[in-house]
Amino acid sequence: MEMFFQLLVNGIAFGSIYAMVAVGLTIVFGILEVVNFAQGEFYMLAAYVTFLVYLVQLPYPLAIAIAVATMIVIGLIVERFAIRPLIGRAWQLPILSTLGISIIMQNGAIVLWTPNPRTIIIDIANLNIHIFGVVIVFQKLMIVFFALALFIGLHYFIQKTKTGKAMRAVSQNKEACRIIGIDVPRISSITFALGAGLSGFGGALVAPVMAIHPVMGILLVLKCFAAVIMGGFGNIKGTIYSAFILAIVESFAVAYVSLQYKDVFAFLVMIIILLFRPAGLFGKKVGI
Amino acid sequence: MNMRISRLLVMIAVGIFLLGIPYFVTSPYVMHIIIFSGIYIIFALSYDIVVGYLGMLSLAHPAFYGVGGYTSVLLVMKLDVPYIIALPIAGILALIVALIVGFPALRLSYHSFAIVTLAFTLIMRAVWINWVSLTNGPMGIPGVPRPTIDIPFLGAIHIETLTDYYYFILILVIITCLFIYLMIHSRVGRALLSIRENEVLAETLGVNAFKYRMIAFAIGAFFAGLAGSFTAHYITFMGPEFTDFYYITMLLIMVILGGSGTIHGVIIGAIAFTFIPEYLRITPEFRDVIYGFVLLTTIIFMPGGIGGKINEILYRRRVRTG
Amino acid sequence: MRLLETIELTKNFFGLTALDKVNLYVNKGEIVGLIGPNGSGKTTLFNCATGVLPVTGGRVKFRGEDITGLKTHEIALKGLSRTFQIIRIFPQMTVMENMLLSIQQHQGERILSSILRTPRVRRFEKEARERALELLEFVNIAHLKDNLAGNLSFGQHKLLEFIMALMPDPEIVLLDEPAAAVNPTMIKKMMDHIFQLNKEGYTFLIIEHNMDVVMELCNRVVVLNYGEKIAEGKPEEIKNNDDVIEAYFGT
Repeated sequence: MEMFFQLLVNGIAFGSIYAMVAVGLTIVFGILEVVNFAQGEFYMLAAYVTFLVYLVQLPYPLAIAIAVATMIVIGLIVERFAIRPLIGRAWQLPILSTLGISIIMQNGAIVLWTPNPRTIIIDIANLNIHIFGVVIVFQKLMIVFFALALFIGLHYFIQKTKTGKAMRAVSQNKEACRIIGIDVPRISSITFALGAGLSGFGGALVAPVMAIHPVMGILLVLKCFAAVIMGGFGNIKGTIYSAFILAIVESFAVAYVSLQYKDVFAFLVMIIILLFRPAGLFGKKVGI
Repeated sequence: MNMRISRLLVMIAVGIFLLGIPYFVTSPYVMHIIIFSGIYIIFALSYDIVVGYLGMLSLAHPAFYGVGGYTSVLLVMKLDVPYIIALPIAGILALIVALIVGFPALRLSYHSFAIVTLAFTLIMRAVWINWVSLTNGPMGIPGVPRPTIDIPFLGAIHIETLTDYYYFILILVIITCLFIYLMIHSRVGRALLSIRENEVLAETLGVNAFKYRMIAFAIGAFFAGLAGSFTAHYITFMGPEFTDFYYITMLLIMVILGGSGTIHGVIIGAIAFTFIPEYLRITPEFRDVIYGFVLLTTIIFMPGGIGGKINEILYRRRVRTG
Repeated sequence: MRLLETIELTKNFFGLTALDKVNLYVNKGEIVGLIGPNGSGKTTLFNCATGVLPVTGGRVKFRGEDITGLKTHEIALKGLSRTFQIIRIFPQMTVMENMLLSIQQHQGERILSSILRTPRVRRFEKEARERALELLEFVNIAHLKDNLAGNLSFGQHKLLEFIMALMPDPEIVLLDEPAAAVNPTMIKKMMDHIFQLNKEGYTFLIIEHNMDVVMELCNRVVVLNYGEKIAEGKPEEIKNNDDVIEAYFGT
């Protein structure tokens, strides 16, 4: 019984990370109609930035802020120069562009920091908390907490603020938005930056509990893609639910089925779901 | 008529040149690269069928290559199947796998398709790495025998030297190019083009888009499987490395920079990007960073690739003939 | 014989009723006009009949066979052809290629034989080319056969789309506004072509706004308004029908 809850809690913690990165993917798709293959790299780079900032003895919370800010800036640059010129042309082009960026970032990370994994040790993060007989590392609790706060904040932002409403409008009908005067390029920038920032947040939060290496992004992002497809491209709630489902399934499957095929479970779930519901678990893109 | 004759002359000249390569290339190293560019020509052309003519971003191609390679190796080494039979079976098995995967996958939206094909490759990779009893896992299968082709009444042909391999891949490349050329200029090619240009209209004219997608996907997989089989019996080794990110990147660069949708463009892309990495004496990661930039700049500034540019130039010279 | 028939055909879009139990039929050899104010459901009817849109209720029959819910390409292969309101051709392919594309093989043909050019396939291609040339000459654009379809003038586009619909030798052709945005000389030519083909046995169902064309061309006219059939009859009867006048001009 204890094992069950342990696995569940683990799944929820990882699900929070998947969800953060996946939501970034889904809003970028919903609004820019671009699949960002480089999303995992924002996660990875943020982890490295956190590592570097921590290395110079600055406090961890500051490291998180710097990491996220850096990702936002990189996101803005990427959107402006590698994505915006391609919108409106063949749909494969933006995807291939992000693929190129992903390759540059991954290999750039290897060149700069070598493939050897890095770790940061933060004592408080590694504190073991006992809740209901389940042992959880403090940082993981923080991850879940932050994720929750982030999603609530995101919900508020999208539903209540002017920019958020503009984002929703663009995701539903870009042409109409242009006609009524919404600055669509600005919304595109903001959305992409938001996606990068979300991914960055995930990376910064995960840095104290995981080994940091240049390919940590690509493996994660594929599972996030699975979550996005399952949840329905552009469907934020669906993506979040799917991310948690995938993470929990993965957690249990690794323990009860097989460790070797660990990374494959998420895909199998995704494929099975797609076989029966090609538009995802939660239906077609409903606009955010 | 003038055009036809000059074209024929060019082809004959190229043919003589190609046949004579083993005679004036003395360095085994260069021969090796040439053979590899032949492999990549087949691999890239097979990929272009899906990406260029069908217009779908498939990331499953390395998996089909692997199916072909492992099938061929296991047939020859464990079941004593003669290579002349193992080779086409490798292709056919890859084709069948493509049909199975394509049947559900090709119904999905373009974006889901891309990711699902990627998932398929990763799943196959996990299988190949973990099913150690069959594939020897990440260590791969060494000691793959060189091809021996038994021709009744004429004895056996042993493909052993670089020259042998060269002519063998040359034959395969010619077959591939011929097949693709015929396909493009047949009803199948026209149907594919029509689906890519305007699917609704194509359907209204009676074109079953799904059927043609399956066909293109399967044919692409067939040739990828052949490429896998040849490579395994050339380097006498079969392992799961081809599922590394690097190879799909290479394919994409060859096809896109070369010019997706053009045979000559893709061939140029394949040859160029087999030779270039050999002469780039820098660390693999740095090279990949450069590749990433190459991909990026090609997409932004020259999405038609080299082949596209060539076509553009030829266009301005004469009216296009049907 | 009723070649094409819709029975209580209904189409809803998220609560909006585009077609409301429409009963329409076209006899073999007729030229039937489908008219009505903008938004009355004419193109929707075409789309439902050709499988482009799924039907909410009712049935569509072709030569007595129920074709409701069949896929577009299946319906096309049965002998039903159509053109679109916004011209659809393949601009990056030559005129001849566009024509050749319009004729799909019989069910028996295999892919491999098509690629490898078996004699049967070659004969088929030759016949297809001859037929294409015939049609191109019929509308006097044969000299453009190797030009890129995208480079043709608007009027030539319309003609091309028209003969593309004729390539597969269909039993019935659904024309969506063949006279739209076309100059009077061209309109006259189009009407002549349609007359000629009708004499040769082709049946037509035509959506048109141009009343002169409808009056001259059609044996019978069906009028839609807000998705409902409000009138049907000979062109002269329709012209003087109060309901029709009201539909077009309000009271």
